[in-house]
Amino acid sequence: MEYLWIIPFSPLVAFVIIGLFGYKFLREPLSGIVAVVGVAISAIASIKGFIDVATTGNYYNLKLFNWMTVGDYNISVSILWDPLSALMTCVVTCVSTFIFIFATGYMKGDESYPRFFAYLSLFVFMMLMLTLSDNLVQLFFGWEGVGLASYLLIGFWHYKKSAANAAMESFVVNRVGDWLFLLGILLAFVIFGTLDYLEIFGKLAGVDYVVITAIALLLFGGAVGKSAQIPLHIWLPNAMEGPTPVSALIHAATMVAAGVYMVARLMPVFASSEIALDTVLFIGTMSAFLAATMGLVQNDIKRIIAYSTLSQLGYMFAAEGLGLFSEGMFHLTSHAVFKALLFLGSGSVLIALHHLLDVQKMGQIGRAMPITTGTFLIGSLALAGIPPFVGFFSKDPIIEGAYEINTFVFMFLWGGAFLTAFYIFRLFFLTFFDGDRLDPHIREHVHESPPNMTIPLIVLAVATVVLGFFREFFINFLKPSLEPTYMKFLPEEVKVLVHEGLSRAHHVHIEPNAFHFLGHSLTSFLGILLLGTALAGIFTAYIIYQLRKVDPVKLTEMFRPIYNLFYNRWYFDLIYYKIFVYGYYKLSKVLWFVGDKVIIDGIVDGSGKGSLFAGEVLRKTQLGRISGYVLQMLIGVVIFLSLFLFLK
Amino acid sequence: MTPEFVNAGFPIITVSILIPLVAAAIVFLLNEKFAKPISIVSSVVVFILSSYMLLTYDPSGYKIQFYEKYAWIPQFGISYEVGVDALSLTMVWLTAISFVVAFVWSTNIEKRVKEYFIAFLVLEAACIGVFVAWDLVAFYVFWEVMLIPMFLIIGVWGYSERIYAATKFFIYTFFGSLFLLIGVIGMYIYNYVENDVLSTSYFDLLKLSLHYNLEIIFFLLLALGFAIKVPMWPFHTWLPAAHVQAPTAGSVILAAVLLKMGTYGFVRFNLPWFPEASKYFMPVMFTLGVIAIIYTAMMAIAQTHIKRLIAYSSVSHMGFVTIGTFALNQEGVNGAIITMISHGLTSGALFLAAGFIYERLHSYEMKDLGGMAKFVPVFATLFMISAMASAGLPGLSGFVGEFLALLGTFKVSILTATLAGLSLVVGAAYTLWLYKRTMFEEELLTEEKKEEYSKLKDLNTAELWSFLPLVIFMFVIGIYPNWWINLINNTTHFVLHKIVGG
Repeated sequence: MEYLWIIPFSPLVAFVIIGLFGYKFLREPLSGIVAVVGVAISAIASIKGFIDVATTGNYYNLKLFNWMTVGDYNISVSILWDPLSALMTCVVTCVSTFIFIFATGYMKGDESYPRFFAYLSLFVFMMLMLTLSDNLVQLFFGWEGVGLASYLLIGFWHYKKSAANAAMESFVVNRVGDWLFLLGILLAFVIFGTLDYLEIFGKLAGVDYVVITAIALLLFGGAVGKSAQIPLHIWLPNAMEGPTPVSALIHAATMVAAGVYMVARLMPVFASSEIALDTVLFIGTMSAFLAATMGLVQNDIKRIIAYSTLSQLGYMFAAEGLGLFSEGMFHLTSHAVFKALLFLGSGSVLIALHHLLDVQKMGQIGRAMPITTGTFLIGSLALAGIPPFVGFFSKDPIIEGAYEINTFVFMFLWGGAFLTAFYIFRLFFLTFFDGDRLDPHIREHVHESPPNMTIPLIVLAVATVVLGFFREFFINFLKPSLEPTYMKFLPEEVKVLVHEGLSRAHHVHIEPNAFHFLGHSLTSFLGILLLGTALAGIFTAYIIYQLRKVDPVKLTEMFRPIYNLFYNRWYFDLIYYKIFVYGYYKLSKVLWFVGDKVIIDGIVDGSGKGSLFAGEVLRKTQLGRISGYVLQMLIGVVIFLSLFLFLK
Repeated sequence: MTPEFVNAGFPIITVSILIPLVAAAIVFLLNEKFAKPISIVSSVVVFILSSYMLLTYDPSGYKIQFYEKYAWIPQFGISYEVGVDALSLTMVWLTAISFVVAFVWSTNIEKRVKEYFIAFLVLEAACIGVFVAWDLVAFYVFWEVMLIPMFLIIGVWGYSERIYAATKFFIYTFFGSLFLLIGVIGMYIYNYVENDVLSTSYFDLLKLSLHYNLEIIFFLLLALGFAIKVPMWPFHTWLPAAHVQAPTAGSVILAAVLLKMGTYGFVRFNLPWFPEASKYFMPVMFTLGVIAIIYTAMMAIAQTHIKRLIAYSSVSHMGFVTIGTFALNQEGVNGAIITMISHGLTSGALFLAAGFIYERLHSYEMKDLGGMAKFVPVFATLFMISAMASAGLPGLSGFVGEFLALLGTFKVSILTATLAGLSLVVGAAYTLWLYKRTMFEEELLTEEKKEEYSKLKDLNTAELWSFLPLVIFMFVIGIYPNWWINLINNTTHFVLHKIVGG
């Protein structure tokens, strides 16, 4: 399995090559090609690794390089290759490959074309360091590294004030999560004396419940930041300032899912604390529902999808909080595919409409862009949870699980499902069909995108259609990483502990087989209810935005307070701005004036002036006679000596 | 624990101190056009010597290496005693690299060119002297000598309010040194009273076992001298004033080298000499360290003058060194030392960046800046790397030291580590704010400004070669910190031997 090191370092090499030679020699399109080749090599290597793991069921732990030694513990750069990391790595590299190809078309003609592909390659390298890590510090390295790449790419068009602000916001808000995450790492190190996952798992049995809860919650704090969960979610919609391939790759498919991956990776730790699981469940559920409400009323095409991402990430966390880790990871995979598809589809629309973002000003472009429209529809149906698309097979099981485990959670996730179907089809009808609200000048030039953009769309659409039927394979594949009884690397007593920790999900049986699950959905009350909900959401959107039977403006007037609440995103952004941006800045200004200038410098400069005066007085002691100085010296020595004698 | 002394076959340290002085003499004698090349060559030679020492230093066990000792004033037990352990050595190396950078950068000095370079060369000799001296008289002489050229650099080649800043710098640090002097003399007399020996050697005084109350008093005397130099909150206000007025190269040296002397003093003297007092003052130092980190980070974001912002960020970073040092454990002190090295590199680079911007746009005020990134891409990249290293991004130098310092602190005080860790957020805020306000948001520029910007030149050769060494070592330390940790481990062990035993 030595070849696995190729996976992270191939994009790194691409990054270095483009970084050094991008502007001088490669330019466009060679920079893009280098990047695509770099990521494609890692995709091939990771697929090979995936197959190896799937056939043998083993896990591999390679230590590549000894990074930092702390006491007796070596923090190393290493690879832990088991079903979980193999799946995540494959998702990252494969989705990246298609998004890179799409980007060669999307970024065509941009003056900073090489820089874009250098950053993208850097991102993939960092993301792979994160997914492949076998210890928390390397994870943190990747974690911060993807944060940097995200910052650079959100701010890619940094000439825009909005982009520069969004980039900074994303980094700083993420750092709030990272602060907690780092404290979690430190606590874990103090408790376990190691930061390797497998060694930590091995020592879980003897650790105090409070401590384990604290570690899990602190680490989860990092996930809340990175995966943009409430209350640290505000940066993600603003991150849409970045080019659309970035939104697809980083802010939908991969990076924001890192938090979900991290929780799954550390499943034994989280499962050891009921409070930790409940917190994950609560935050996930709240995010799933609240973000969906925010997405209902937005008009920026990318932001609607961004809120949808927040919401879907919430579903994944909810699944993990329910103890259904495999379902969470399957939804992550599924979401990576259909959300990348939706974002790339919107990117294709943006190119055709010259970066017009407001869905209220679009409409009736479906015929001119058949491939984009068709693939977008597939993505939307998947998101809404309509069979046979993959979203149905990954999202419905989570809601069904919630029904068995926690009614409160079920209500929110169920409600969220209706909202999801509604907002995505509102977007769909407004963008591609409905009336002609488009500026005629733009309408003239609406055209389908070139093949390097449509082929990735088609590939992702095909994946969206077929992936759901591999449900059983995925669930079984993940067992050696996420089912305590199958986890070879856990000692027996920890297996018992983790198994008990997941007891909330023991009575739940969710059909792994896709055909059986479909059959169950079409026959059981709950299945029909969920399917009906999704269809109702779509149908409502159809009535309002396509048939125009109900005037959306009148609806808005009827529900003005609620509309305002949703439209202003529950006032999170406003309150945060007032307190943490404006408040912090003003407080700093005031502190600077009062603390540094008036008080501290007042004393310093004041004592300077005082000493001038004192000097005048003391001058009188300097008589210029040797005997006088000798006397003063003697007094000094006597003081010192008596001090010693006195203190001894 | 007595260290071994490994004598130098060749007096490499003395030579390192003499080279800048000889170069200063030559500059004085020759035409002013030779001033810069001679300074660069001499500083490069010193850098090569220090790198040689760094690479040949034997990190196993605690040995004072390249050791030289000659009697100076034997009647009073004063000698010329120099040598390096890993702490001294890394600081000497940092000094050497910083001066190379400072000299290479100093291109367009217009007034008193010879004097400018002479001041810097004397400063270099004094700085190296401070870090290598094991005799306290020599140490104190170097410590004071250093003030004069720095005073001149700010006072003569500074900006409009240079006299105020230079005077404040001088009087403030001089004031601090007096307490240091009293402390050292006190130790000297005490040693005489106790053991009937007159000696100013560091190691002789180390053997003293002081009464608890005396330890406290001496600790405070030395600490005041060092705290002003660091500078620790609330003794920090001289620093922004000095930085704002100092010429770019002066700021680089001030931030990269001079600030380290305060923290060097704490690690070198306070911890080994006063172990009980160090434990006693741990909570005080933690408090001051945390205030430095959070409060000055807020000061930084309140600034519109970019050099003042960077100056405050220095105080904030030095807070990490303070808490790491006073965690009084291996990780903490290792972290403190690596943060010292890293901060030397990053703050030096950030001041270079400020200098670069000023030379192009003739302003340090944010309202006159912004939107440069596109026009000067190479600079923008190096500036970004430096900013990220400063913000503690893993893989670059800043993270290593801060991680270790936080880990050490966390072991003794979770609260301190939690609050100090907030610098992850507030530190990122002011760093990115600085970057955004100088490099991004081109669309806010007026048309005339854009016209002016399109004529901007990216880094010239001298500027590039000043930046590169700093940036390269940010990566070297960040990617392979183990080499550095291994280098300093036994020195840290020695520093702590009276505190943790063994």
